Amino acid sequence: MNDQGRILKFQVFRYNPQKKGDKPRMVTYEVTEAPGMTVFIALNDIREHQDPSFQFDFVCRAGICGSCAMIINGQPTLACRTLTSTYENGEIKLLPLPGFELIGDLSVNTGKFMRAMSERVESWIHDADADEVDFHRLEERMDPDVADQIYELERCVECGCCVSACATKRMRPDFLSAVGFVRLARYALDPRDKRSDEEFYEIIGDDDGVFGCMTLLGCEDYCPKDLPHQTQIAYLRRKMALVR
Amino acid sequence: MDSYSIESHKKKSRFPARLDFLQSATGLVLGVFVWVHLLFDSSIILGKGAYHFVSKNLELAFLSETGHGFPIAVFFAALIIFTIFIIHALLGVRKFPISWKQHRILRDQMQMLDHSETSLWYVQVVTGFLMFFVGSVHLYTMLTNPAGIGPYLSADRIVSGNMWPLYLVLLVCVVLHGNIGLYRLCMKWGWFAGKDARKSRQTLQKLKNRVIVFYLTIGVLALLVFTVIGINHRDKVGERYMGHAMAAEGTQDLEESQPVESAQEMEAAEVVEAPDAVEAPEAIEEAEVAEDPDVLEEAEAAEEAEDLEAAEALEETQPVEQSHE
Repeated sequence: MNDQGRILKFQVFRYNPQKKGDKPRMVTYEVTEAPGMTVFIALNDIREHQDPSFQFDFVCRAGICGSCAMIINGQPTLACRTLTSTYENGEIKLLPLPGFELIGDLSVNTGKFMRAMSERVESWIHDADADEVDFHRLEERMDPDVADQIYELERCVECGCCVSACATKRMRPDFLSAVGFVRLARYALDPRDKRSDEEFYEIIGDDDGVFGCMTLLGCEDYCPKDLPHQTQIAYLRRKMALVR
Repeated sequence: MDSYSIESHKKKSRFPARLDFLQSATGLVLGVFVWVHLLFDSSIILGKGAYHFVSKNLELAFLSETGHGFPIAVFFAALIIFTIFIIHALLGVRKFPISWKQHRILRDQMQMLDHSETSLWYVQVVTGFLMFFVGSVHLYTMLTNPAGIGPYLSADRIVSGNMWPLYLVLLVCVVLHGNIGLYRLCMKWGWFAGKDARKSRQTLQKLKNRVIVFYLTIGVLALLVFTVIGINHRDKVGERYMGHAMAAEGTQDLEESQPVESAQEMEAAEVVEAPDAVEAPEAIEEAEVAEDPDVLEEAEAAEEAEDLEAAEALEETQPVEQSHE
């Protein structure tokens, strides 16, 4: 397929809440496609050559930092991992991730949300005896399979795609959402975390937690890292349903 | 042991967990019930005899000496299902996008995100809402008129009782809502996940689609067959189907009358075809194909019908029986 030199049409959401009198609008930019171009590269091109005030987030450009998540032609995904050649008609519509505080244009404050989520699920190892660790002794060994399961869940880059893809979360803003469940499942699996099921229940045992999940599976279907949201939420649901 | 949660001083209610479980459990019972229910209903496709046999045995006729059965069994079954239905509706309505704002957000989300699972959930919301009404009407009918369910009574109800639009809506709603719901249950609780949960999900999705097509097909077919019978039987509303009694008179009669009946049904089917226009030709074919096993079954039933007295008794009660409209 020879798509070199193709003119791409980007329809981009523009709005700066900081600027007085600014109104949300869609602006069209034209970019000449280059071989292997990603949406992220095209956005940089626009900012460099057409509009320096254009706001969007990126750090790693390699799908590791999770900063450049946005809605690309209706799908929440990472701009740096989306090739422009995917879109045959060369028209690409970009919206900021819904469900997050808008900083400006395509930039949203996922950091604030993720911080609050981490605090809500108390995203750290809980061990009352942690202060009495004997440093002269070896740590207890972890089963390699359990370690693998934990690492699998730690691949989350907190991009926020699962939050934006979840109609439940959109309708009920206090809903914890998939990123929180996966995080909590990670600690529930970890033998070093001594929290009991009753204590996990205190965090997710209501309709803002795991029982609020209506299993629409947007999280599972739009995770750029292919994390197993469905099985993990089911795991937590079974666990929490059995708490007496 | 020390407690780690920040809000550990107040224990969270276990109610949300129980309600969530109850919603799933009632949904599971209703979903499986509908599977069986529709299969039994569709026995009419095999012929009146088959339907009569099924409905009699669901009245526990095999337990009674006269072969009459106990219509009260149908009443209790309807009562239990109605109760579960109401509980499920009550629990389900908690999840509805109940405010304008929520509904607006959901519609926006669906417009933005072309995601089949989210759309399927919306289908469940709409069909669930419709079933508050159509489901209730159907269940109420079963509660108040549990007796005498048979091919003619059901057909009269559908045609002369003008219930066909309700049953058509109910059929579509219940098949979609139930089967999407059963699939969602598997996802929700991680059932049948196997080693590769994603692969199992695809299998379950396919299975769900096939089951929906299957039940919609047999459901619509059964409704069409009932319509044909009902139109044929329009002048004799209230007459009951006497499987055993008719058979006891001799299979000869039945066989002789067969071609005539078939022709009548053909005519009736042609009348139906125009207004309904739903796979009518296939239905006629099915109905015709169904004739033979029907006769055979009735013939067999005749051989087995030892209790002639009971058959006569049935015949005598015939004029007294009135239709339940």
